[in-house]
Amino acid sequence: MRTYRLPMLTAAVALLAACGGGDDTPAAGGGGGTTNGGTGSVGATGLALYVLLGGTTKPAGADIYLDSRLAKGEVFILPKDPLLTSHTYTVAVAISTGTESFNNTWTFTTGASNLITSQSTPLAELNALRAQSSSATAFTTHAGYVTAAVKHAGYQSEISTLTHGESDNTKRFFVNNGFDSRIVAGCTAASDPGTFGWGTGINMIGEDIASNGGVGAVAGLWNTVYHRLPMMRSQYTRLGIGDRVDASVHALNYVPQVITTPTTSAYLSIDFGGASATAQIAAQWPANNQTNVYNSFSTDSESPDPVGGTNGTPTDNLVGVPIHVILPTSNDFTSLTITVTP
Amino acid sequence: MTKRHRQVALTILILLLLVVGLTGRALSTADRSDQPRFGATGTNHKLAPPGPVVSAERGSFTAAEARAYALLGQFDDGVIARLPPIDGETTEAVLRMRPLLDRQPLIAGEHRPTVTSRGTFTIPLPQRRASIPIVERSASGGPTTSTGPSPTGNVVAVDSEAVATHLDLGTRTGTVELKSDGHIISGRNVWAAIHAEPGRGLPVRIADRGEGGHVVALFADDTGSLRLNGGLVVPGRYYRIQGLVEITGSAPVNVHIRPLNAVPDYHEGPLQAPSANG
Repeated sequence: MRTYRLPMLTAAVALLAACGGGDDTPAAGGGGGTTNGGTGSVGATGLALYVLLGGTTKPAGADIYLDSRLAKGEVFILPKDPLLTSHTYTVAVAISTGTESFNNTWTFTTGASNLITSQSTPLAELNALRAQSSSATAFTTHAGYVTAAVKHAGYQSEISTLTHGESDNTKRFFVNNGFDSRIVAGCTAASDPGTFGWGTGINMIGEDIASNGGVGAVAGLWNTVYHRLPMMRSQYTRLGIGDRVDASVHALNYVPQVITTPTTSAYLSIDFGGASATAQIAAQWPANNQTNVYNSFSTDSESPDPVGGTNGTPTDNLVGVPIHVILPTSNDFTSLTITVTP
Repeated sequence: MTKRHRQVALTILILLLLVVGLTGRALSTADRSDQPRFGATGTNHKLAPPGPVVSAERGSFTAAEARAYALLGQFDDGVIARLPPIDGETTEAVLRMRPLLDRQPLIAGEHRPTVTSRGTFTIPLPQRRASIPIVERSASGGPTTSTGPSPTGNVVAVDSEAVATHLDLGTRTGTVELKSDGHIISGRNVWAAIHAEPGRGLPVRIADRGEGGHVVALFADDTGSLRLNGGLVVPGRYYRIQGLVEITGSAPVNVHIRPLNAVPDYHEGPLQAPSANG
């Protein structure tokens, strides 16, 4: 079973080096969150849905939940049951902030199987998914982030454990127990420390890891809620990607080798860097008329679990593919109507 | 002594007497240490001779004035039902800022939906509480003649019905990129939101190098320090980007960028403090 660790999104304010500040703690707001007097309707027709929102208040309505890991303007729509394969669905979204309204209706078609990929490399696969979502700048690699990601993939391969930390400093690929410090080390080695040690112009970082590798792991990470966030957000623009294969050919894997060619877990690791003041723009995924879309998502495979009760949701497991919408607003939603119909 | 000089001397004497009366202290030519000072801070106690201003420096608003201006505007716009509990300084500022807000013209916008490949974005007519003067747009987009106060609770726009002029679904909208020296708008019909904090993005500088014009609306945790090009704004109202704007403040701020043709009304610029003679 694949396990996806929480991306740790760390603010760049000076000495706050700890991972999370809330990102790796349970989301607040049991029972759905604070309502603002508006009304919401999800799944009134078509499929039953869970809807997760960013913000401080939400419109009242069943199956609408505030999630502290989402930013204002971000919405995740999760059909309560897996979608049918090779089937076309229509999504209709009508959202208001009280002073502005956003309306969209679009269709997509699921593939014959789940997690169909289209590209030959992880970076290309990630940028293809990102381009389907919005016009955000494509990711580019940065040497410091590549170093951090490859070495961390190597560490996880050495200990055969999926983990964001590095507690064993005797391992050959050990850098630092904190992913932020690993990025600092990489950027220092790349002679680009920047203001916060994360490179020029960078004041926010994140990390995704997966138990498998290659393009399949990228698809698997995208087919989540929280691990998709750094991949879809326009604020993130640079990254480094590495897995067991990359670590196996790294200079640190000298004879006697500590990493061999993968037969099972490959520990894909992605380190992200971004600038928090980058503009948030409209996005949606799947894109209009997109084909070969994923059809199901096991929420229990993601940690934390987006439908696991900690954000007020009930406990569920196998649901439909996560659909996301990002709106160019920093205000709470005062009303929303969302349907997904086959 | 000429008649003019007598008039000036008499005026000075009157002012001196007024200050003595206010302070309760008598003038003493033998001991000038306790001579009261009169006049506002930064001005000379001598009356300046009439004539053109040789040098003028723009004044600045206090935090209390900024908060008062923002609250009054939000009340007028129906965003808040009543003024929240405010301190004495802000309360006094409300009286000063009321006429300044009343004299800030709002310009009617085209009020068109923006149709994009990711949805249709619209701005409903604001349900304002107070009658606010609206001026029609000129061909250049600036104000022309005043049409007088709008009906209570509504803004009279040039286009009273929102009509999409671009029904080309899939129209590519422009972009806003963050460069080392600020945000750059390119293309047209940009909708974007920027979050900035002290040390993380503030000050925000936005240059509109796009097409069709764009506006910004600002929202802040504390409006006391929030400034647009050094002037005051009402949170949520739209202000035209004329080339370049700079947003400053000591508290987190959110900035919405919108197409000029999408808004029902807007201000040409923020409220600037009156110039002060140095």
